[in-house]
Amino acid sequence: MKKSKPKIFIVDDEAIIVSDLKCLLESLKYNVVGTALSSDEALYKVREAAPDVVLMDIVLIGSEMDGIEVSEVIKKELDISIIFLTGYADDEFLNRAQEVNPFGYILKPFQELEVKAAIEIAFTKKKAERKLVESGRRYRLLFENAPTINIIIGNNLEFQEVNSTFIETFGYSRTEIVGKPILDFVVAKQKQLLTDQLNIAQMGQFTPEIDIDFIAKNGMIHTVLLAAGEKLLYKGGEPESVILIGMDFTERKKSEEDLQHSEARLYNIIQKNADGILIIDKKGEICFVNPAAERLFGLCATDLIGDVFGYPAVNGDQTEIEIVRNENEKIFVELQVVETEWDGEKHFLASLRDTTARKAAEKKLITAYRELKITQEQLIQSEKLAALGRFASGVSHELKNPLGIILGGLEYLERKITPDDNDISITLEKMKKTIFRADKIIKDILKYSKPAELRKKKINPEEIIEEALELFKQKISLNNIVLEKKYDEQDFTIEVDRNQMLQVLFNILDNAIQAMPEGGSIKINISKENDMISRLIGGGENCVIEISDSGKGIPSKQLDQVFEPFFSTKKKGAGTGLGLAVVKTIINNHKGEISISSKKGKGTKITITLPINQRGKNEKKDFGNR
Amino acid sequence: MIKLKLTLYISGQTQKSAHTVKQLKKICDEDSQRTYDIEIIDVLKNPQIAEEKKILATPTLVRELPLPLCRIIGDLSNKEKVLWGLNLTPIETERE
Ligand SMILES: Nc1ncnc2c1ncn2[C@@H]1O[C@H](COP(=O)(O)OP(=O)(O)OP(=O)(O)O)[C@@H](O)[C@H]1O
Ligand SMILES: [Mg+2]
Repeated sequence: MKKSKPKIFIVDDEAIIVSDLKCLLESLKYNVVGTALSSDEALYKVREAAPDVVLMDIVLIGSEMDGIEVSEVIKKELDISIIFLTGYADDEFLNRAQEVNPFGYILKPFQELEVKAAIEIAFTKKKAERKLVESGRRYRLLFENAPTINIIIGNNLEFQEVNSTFIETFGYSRTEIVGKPILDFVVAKQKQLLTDQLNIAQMGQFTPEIDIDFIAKNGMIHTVLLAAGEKLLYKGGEPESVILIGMDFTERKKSEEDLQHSEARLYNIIQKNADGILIIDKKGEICFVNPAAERLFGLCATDLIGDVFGYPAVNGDQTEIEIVRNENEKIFVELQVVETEWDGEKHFLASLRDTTARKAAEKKLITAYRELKITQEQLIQSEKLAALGRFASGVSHELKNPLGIILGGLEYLERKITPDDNDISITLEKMKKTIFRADKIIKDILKYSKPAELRKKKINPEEIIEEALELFKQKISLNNIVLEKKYDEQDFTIEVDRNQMLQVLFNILDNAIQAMPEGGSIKINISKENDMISRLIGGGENCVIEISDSGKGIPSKQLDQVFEPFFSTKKKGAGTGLGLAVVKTIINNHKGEISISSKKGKGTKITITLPINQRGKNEKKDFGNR
Repeated sequence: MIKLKLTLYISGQTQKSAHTVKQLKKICDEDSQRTYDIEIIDVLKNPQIAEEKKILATPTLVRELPLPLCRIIGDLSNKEKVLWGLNLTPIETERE
């Protein structure tokens, strides 16, 4: 400290004082490097002389600036210590002088000792401050150029200073940052966390490092691992600040996250996969199951893992297996196996696809195809029949005339023979019967092949049935047959050809009676089909006539043949096999449907469905004889 | 001569099951080194056995004796793989 005497500069508006002071200082071995009498001169000369201390008169009469103003400039520019010279202690001046943070005051008139003390103190202080500044500068350098993100925040958590790394990282300029609250630059959900941490740090307590997401100027989020340093005590009276040191981990974190993300994504894909996935080891033990596989087996993962599924001896890479969940549930599964690595060892990845539905669909398709083929065959068959029918009708016509002639001849002969010729008479009778039979066959063939024109009339179904029964009355009672009738209330009519409809009923009743040689019962039901679907699709309502008997029934394999012409199980001569064929033709010509159901030994039921013509309550006639 | 006891689990007497049985018979017949005692269990008829033995799917072939227990899932058309899965070498006797 003693090595170099401080360089001193004197500013006063009175030349006498200046020279007095100069003498005094030089006698005290100080180095006076210059003097000035005005503010201008002072500013100009001080810059040149670069003193350590300036003794400054507070009031500079005749100058543009007073001593305090000059001091402000000097301090700002040159970092020189100021000692004020003052003649009196004016409070206002003193308050202003305090702003410059002077090193001391010397009161005029000067006392040697006082001057010396003031200068020495100032000089020592200055040196100490220099040192401080020096270490501060070093510190600054570190702060500024470190590769870390360095931030100093003030009492109100505002940015006081940031370093170049911060600026490079976030893209803000210092003016955009300094003075603004740090929280403005942090993502919302972390504001509280950071505030808490900083408050703790401000109290001088240790805080752990935290990840904070900062928002850069370009909007990008940077994740910064932030450590709050010790609080800094700044220049005595200034508020306490905290230094924050951070590292930008955005890249690291991002790739870590990416990895986690893609793993999670893959896992998700496996979990959501519609195919079952199993990982099995070399011995066939299950190591992993996805939910789809759980569903396939009907077991949960905890049950399955550790179970032995089996070594997949799959030839190629695919096979079909079945999973039986219970007696009635068998699932078909396509098993596909590839080798894979699991926990560093060779394993199998088996994927299981439920093909049950597909199989069922295939089966349905095959059935549908088969059915299609059958209907096709039926179509062909019926076409053949039609052709046969056309042929038959031609033949029948041709036969009708000769039969008529033969019949005429027979009747002539009958008249001619004598009553004694019994033999001849019997023969003729037989011949006549045979001709009637032939005639009936011909009529049937004609009916079947060429339906007579329909003469339709609106009839109450009950009416026509009663008419038919009337004609069968005797036959029915003769054969010990009980008749049961159940007619629903009829507010409708059907439009049919009366004669043909009677034909239908005769044939059906005939068959029924023939099926019950030992008697039985015939049930007749009339009802209205209340089928919502058929009504919805515009098909209208139907009248349903059911005629069932308690006869011997029809073996199921014959059931689909009974409507075929010439199908008969009856004794030769007893049946032509045309009855039901004619019935079906007639019903179809009436846009109706007929079906037969039967149980061998139990009975047979014929169901006829005819479209209801229209509501005809008013047309209902009273047929009392039920 | 080594005697093996195998159990084949099938579900239902279907064509496929018959095919699997045929494949197994073929493998056994072609093996002159060992004799086989084969049992066939229909899991549809014996669900309780399937449950006891934890048969998860069919066809499953189990080597019951001699130990170790081994299991194969899927069709048996690949002889090498079947023998491998049963812990048997194609020629000679047991591995191990
Ligand atoms: N109600 C019935 N009970 C038992 N079998 C019947 C019944 N109705 C028809 N069948 C069987 O169907 C066959 C065909 O009947 P269908 O009426 O077409 O001819 P048919 O009675 O044999 O001869 P036809 O009626 O021409 O005199 C009969 O031979 C009989 O085997
Ligand atoms: Mg008949």
